[in-house]
Amino acid sequence: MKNSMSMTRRASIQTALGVLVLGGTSQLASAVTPAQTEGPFFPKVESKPTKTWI
Amino acid sequence: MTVIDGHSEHALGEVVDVHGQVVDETGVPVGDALVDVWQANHHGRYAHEADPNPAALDPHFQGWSQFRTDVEGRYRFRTIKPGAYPVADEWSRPPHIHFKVALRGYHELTTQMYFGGHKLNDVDRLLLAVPEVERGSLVVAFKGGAGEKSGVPQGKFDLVLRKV
Repeated sequence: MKNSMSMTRRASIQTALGVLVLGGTSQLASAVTPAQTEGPFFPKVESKPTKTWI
Repeated sequence: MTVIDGHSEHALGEVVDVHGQVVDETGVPVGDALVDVWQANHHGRYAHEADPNPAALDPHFQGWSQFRTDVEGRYRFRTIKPGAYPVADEWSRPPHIHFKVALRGYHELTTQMYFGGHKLNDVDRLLLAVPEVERGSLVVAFKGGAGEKSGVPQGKFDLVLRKV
């Protein structure tokens, strides 16, 4: 009986954790990327950017 | 970004490829977004007149590129791993690349991408200002390199924009 109760309780906890983990993952997947400062070195717009893929 | 138009020599430093996808909060790809990336050179110096760092400039590295995401929101670029640089007496910035992503209908996003495993990541004031649970989304683990086809380490940095 004691074992049975523990298992039931464990299952409840696991289920609760599972829901939490799934909820957390889902939330993270759609979380907006954290912003960071632009800093003082944003390129001057009059210069021409370097080619990207070489 | 490793070769400037009209130059025959390559930028100094370890070449890396960065790629990723820009999506909205629901996971829908954001195509045609304008992406600016800029960074310091191999020595940790920006090719910008306001940079007070006495480290050497690299005449073959401009440290800025601009491109648009494709219809699937994907992008890629080749650059060099930037150097760390001092900001204050007890603060040096770890290697990082700045990103600015813009498209009408979305909030403009300005952020920074960090290189996984660098010791300065753990003490960087700007990275530590990000809530711990979100910090990992800015830190990229580069894989591959010598054993890969391209011989170049690859890093994936996905970005999520917020709709207006």
